Amino acid sequence: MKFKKILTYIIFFAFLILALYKTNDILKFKFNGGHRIQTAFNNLPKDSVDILFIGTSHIYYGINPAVFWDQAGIPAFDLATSSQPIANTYHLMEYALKTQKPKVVVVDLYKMVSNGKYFNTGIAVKAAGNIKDLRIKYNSFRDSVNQENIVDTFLGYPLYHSRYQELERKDFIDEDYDLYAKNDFKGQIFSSKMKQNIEFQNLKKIKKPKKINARNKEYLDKMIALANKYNVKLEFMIVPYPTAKDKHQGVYLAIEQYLKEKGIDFNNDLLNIDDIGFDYTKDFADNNHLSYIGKEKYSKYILNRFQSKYKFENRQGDEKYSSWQSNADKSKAFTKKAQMLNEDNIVRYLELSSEFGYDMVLRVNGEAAAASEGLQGLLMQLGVEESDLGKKGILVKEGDAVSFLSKDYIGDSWYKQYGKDILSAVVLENENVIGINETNLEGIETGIDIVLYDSNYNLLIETASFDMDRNWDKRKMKFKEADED
Amino acid sequence: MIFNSYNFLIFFPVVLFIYFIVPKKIRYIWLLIASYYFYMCWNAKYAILIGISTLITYGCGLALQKLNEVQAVVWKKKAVVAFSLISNLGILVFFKYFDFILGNINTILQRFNMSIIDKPFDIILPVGISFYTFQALTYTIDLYRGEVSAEKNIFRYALFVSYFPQLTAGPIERSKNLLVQFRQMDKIKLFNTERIANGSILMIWGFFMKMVISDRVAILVDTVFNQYYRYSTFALVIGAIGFAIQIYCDFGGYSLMSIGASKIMGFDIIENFNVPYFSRSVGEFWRRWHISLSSWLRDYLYIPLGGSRCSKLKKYRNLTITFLASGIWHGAQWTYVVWGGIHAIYQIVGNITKPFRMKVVDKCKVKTECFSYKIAQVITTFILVDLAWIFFRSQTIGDAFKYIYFMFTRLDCWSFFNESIYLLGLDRREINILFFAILVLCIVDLIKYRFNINLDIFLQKQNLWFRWVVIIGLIITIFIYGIYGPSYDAKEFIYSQF
Repeated sequence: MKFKKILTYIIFFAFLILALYKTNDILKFKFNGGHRIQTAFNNLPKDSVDILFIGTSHIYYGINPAVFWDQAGIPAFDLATSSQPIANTYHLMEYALKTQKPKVVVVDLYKMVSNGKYFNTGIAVKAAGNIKDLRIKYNSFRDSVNQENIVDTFLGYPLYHSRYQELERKDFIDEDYDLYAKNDFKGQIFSSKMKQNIEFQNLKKIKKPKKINARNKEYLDKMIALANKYNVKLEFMIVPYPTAKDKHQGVYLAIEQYLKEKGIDFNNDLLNIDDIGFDYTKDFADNNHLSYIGKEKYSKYILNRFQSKYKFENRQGDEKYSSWQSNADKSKAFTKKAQMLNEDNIVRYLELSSEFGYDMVLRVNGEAAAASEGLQGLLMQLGVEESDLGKKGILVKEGDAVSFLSKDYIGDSWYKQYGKDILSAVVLENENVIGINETNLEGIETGIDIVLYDSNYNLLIETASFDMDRNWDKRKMKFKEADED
Repeated sequence: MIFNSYNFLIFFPVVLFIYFIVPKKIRYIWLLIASYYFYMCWNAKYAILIGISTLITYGCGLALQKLNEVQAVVWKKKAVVAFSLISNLGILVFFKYFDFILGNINTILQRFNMSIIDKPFDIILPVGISFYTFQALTYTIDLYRGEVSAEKNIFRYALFVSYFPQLTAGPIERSKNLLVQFRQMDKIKLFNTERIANGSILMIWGFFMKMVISDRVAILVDTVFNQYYRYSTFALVIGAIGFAIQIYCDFGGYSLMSIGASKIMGFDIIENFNVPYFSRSVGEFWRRWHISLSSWLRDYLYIPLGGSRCSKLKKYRNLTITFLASGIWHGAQWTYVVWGGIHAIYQIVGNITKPFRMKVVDKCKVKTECFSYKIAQVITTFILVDLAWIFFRSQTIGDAFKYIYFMFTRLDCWSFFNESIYLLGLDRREINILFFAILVLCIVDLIKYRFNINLDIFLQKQNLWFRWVVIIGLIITIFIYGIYGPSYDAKEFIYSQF
């Protein structure tokens, strides 16, 4: 009887702990630039990374491990957090080297220019929230958060227990087709944005070094000691960013001198932007980060540098590294998506969508059906029958299969599920409706509306409208934007 | 430390663990150490005060016992009691009411254009002083009345005064209950799993009331009361109802945590709330609300004054004194005094008008044994009580009167049908959570009202799966929906500063 009672209590506590664990799992932060990168890192096979990049968003926007894999079979990883202070970078490096033995560790030193006092709880939480080693996690918070917040940030759930207000699907399910899914995410984050007319200051003219912040220098020394302890090759770098100021370069000069004395490589790529050959109308997403085009270019540049210095084994074909292959494939899918998002010419847009093999739902509105011969030509190229030209309707292209839902067939409908999304199209008495899940698409009055999906990854590419009255200008639809970091 | 803090979540299990493993003869010593440590976490210096109160009442207890044994004359015993009362109440008055008294004196002096008296020093109100002072005084008075024998063991007595689960916010225990249990502490069966489970359930329910309901509705209440002049009837009514819920769940929740913690350790302490908002009269409300204080005032103030066994005028006088004392006990502000006075008026007017009301009910052939009559009584009582709460919550008497005035004159019926409620500090989701939590509270309170059993006993009678679903559900709900973390200040218990 006593034994039965004890067993009952054990089972009860087991259920309770399971419920709390699952609840915690759902509620915990899942920032793409931080938590999910650490989750993916925790999920890596032991000793599988050959080049480990650690640092800030400059790393995850600037370096694409998929390029390293595609071109040379090198498994690389971006272990980075937005605005990550140097102290947190050090602790992350300490954590990383417990489970990985990379050939090279490359640390981004952008944050060496800050003043060394870090009490931003949000950044600290992103930088250390998913570190499994509790000692390192605590130290990371201790070195970067206000004293009164240490317990809360360390425990985590006092910060995120109120996230019930903003839960999404990714909090419950880690979708395989999601770029940031832990099984094959390698830390790179994509931005499809492009900022034009980027300008860099001429930093080569700066000759006088500035004093390095003492606290930052302390952590720089710690990273060097850590690399020695684990016997890994350590390099430091600066990813090019347009807002680099003279005083930043002054600090980087001092760092360069300091590291030269220690015999450690430091690549300040702010001074190599000419060699890299950036296109200042396309290669930058904003004033601090590279775009998806710039990322590819820069990644190839530094890959060449690594290959000239080190010998790496080509791991392609090795089952242990299969996640890098699937990551590379996903990366291409996201690159194509970014390309589509930046394509404003309707002809080129439709050509690309066919070239990339996207599923498409296209709605012809207003007078566009009859007005434009060019459009009609395009529609015929896409597979619309000549007899259907001039009608208002919805074209559905699923792989190679094309169908045209029109007013001739009121009630005609089509739908397909892409992961979490159900895309549907239906012809009604007074309108043609396109919807994603419960939400209808609000399109253009005269022109065409297009919804594109990549069926290989269940990835919503874009919902776009081309306005015939404004020279086929492209604009975003009014509902549900494609997910973008 | 407060109950809903990390410190307590570490402190209590450690105390419990050691309590269970130390030899039973010295368990009370361990509890005493833990209780003083608990109190000193607030402010170490004020442990001296509680120590002084302990020594005075302990000494007076021994003296009374001696006087009883030698059958001394009554005036000697009364002198001892008077000494205990004066010294303890003197400490209480000094720390709690010095600023209040000085402030009022200065107000009078200013009226007569005289120079005011400067405050010679700053006084910080020691946490829980009202509670432990009254608790210590029950010992003296119970001894005088021969209802309990003197405690010779000073450490055991000190534990009675400083017992940590009810030290800072009650319930106010009686020596003939708690001290007697402490004397039999070594007879407590350690691992009574049912008792531990029941105590835990009460604590969990207390946390739910405090963290999910009280602290959440406090956001809405603060929004309305802090700028009441901006709002119309709807918001002001919601604010008033909100405060009634807040204070019940805050204080009731704390009491349950205290009762639950004690139960785990093997002690039964006085129930403090018995579904007060189901009362059908103000008199009944006071038999269900803050039972430990109202019974203390009844037994040690109202009845010694004559109670109701005297002329009607004297009875009303006694009621007034008792309720004014209750008011002033709650805080050094005229708003509390007025609040107490309002309840006295309710009782007196209720008493005076009772024959008339009964006549009207009889003449109109109103059915009194039906649900509709009872619910009307409950609603009327709640309205009366809640109007008084407005004085309790407001910063000044003037604010309270204006609040009520605006509540009755700024009619805005349409606000019931639009989304005004979501503009009072809580968004739609939070309001939904609050309503659901209050619904759960109503169900639990209905069970208590109907069957006169607490949640722990009710659950013990259910099947295992149901018990587990409820308990795990409550814990998860507190975990997710509790108001804690950097976004919120740890809402201290309202009554801790009494």
